[in-house]
Amino acid sequence: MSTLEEKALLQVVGLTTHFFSFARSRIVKAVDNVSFEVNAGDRLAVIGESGCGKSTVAASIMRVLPPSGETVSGKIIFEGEDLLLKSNQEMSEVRGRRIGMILQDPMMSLDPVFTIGRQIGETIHKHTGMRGNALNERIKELLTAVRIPEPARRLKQWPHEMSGGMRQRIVGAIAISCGPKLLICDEATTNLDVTIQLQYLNLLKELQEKMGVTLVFITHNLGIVAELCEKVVVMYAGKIVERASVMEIFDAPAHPYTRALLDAAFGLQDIKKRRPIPGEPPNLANLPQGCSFNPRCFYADDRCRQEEPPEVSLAPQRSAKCWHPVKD
Amino acid sequence: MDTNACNELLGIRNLKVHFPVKAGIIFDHVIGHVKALDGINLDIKPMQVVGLVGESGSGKTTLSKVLLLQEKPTHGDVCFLGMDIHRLAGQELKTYRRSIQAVFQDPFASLSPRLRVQDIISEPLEVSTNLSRKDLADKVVESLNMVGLDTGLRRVYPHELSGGQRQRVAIARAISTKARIIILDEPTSALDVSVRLQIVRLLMDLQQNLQLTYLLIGHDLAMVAYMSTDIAVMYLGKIVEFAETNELLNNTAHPYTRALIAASLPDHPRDKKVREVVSGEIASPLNVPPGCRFHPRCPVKKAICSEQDPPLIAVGANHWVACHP
Repeated sequence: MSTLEEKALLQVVGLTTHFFSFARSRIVKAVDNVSFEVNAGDRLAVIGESGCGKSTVAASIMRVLPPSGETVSGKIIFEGEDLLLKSNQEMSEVRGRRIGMILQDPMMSLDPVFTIGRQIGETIHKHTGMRGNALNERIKELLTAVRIPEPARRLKQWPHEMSGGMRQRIVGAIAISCGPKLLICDEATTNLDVTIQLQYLNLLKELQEKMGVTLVFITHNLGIVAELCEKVVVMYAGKIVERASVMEIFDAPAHPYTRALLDAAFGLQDIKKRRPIPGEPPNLANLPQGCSFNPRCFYADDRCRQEEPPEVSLAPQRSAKCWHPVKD
Repeated sequence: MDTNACNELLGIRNLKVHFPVKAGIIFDHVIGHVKALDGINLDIKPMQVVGLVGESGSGKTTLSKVLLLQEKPTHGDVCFLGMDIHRLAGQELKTYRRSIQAVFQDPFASLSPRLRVQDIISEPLEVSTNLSRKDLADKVVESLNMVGLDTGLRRVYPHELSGGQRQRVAIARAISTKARIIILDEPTSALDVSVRLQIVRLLMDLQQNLQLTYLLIGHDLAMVAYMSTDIAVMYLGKIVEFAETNELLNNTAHPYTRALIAASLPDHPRDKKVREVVSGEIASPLNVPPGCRFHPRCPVKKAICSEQDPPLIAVGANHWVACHP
């Protein structure tokens, strides 16, 4: 991985984020020693289920953790600078301008009491000082870029006057308004209907090709990963359990969890044998001893129940955190 | 889908639910109607699993509310074993309520946080039967066993359970009354991906063992296709296509169904292809387009499509489509 370091747009090194409650007596290890890197132009997927820490990774990168959360250790190197060492003032220059973010629920991301023109304009004005006609023209340009018809009329409307798909396009317009290098999409299409979801994924692809923005797509949906992404990081219980290219993940998953997720997914192309995963994701405040996945794993043995497995490199850019990675 | 007497388990005849939209503060007047359901015909036979798919706003949930007697139809009726469900009273009404149960999307919202698991499961029995406390307790244990939950969990509160366990409790409640029909409204959408298939398998096993009939509402065509024997595709308050699952997937006749299938994401990156994306979004049910309601988004529309609403016609054995040929 060392040869790629100079090219990496974002390097997350040993990121550990904990949530504290009951006067710091209870610790939830939401993200535990997570490292990955994203090169410029990549489309990286972070897959995992709710509670695996994937959204906390995003919030740690953006430094928007809730008050109970704290990044305890690690580095987040973005364009050569460690974001964790920046002051809040400096960080607000990064958010929105250099890193954009699209969240799941557009009704929560947009403010119901401002017109959408004003909400898009706010970000641009803050970062560039643009105002007046120039700002209006820029907003219209952005609305056209996210395929909103009649931008001149739309920018005077309120979020409630739009459908879910449109609102999510507006959030997209805000995210790309200042030409960010990196766009983090956290379950960005989960709330959308399937036909609208496909439109939105195509839009993201188009924006990426036109603007050269790098995408980090956080999702639980393997279909989105197959459709959109090139590299994949799989998370389970706060840790990265596998990293690989998208083809490797679907052809030869090395970690039993990845394999089980693929076996349990629904698909239209072949409605064939599916195998459910037993049990449920663990409680992050009370993880099982050894490998976190061992109570649900088909291959678990005594060692898995006692010792945490190391991350085993299987090939360049490919690893699994498992005592028994499945080799083909 | 013949329109004569209802001899099916559940027969839905030309069902319409229109919600008036009012304007004005003191002298309010009706300015239009939201046509949530606009003429639905559907027969459900015993042990069928009928999947209802469609985008949000297509009327899937309104239909389930009518069946659960939470919404009154504006027009048309629903027959349960030949009786109109909206005219039932007394003992017959109790029997009907016992026969139809529901499992909802979000088990965090559908279970009362103040009741213990045993009370959640026995509540529908208490209101619809005269069982003794001992019999109720036995029923609870029996239901918990059937959904694969430890009977020791009967005394805990929902917040102590995980998402998958809660959904099992909701299922236990639905089967506790020996219901014949269970409405499953997005039963897996709120669950973790690794737990979804467990719940689907459980529902399918129960359906076989207890000879249940399901009305499965979902927007994920792949999940619905996995469970259902037949699928009805809804668009803006109407059924636009109905067929057996394999027939629907292999001989798709309606352009909207084709769009839904095309929009479902690939199982493998190798299956990725450039697909025809339907443009636009579902219209507002307040302002339904004239003619075929899908025509503004339809890739194969003709002149007639904007003028005449196509009727649901047979194109194969038990395969019905509302589209101009």
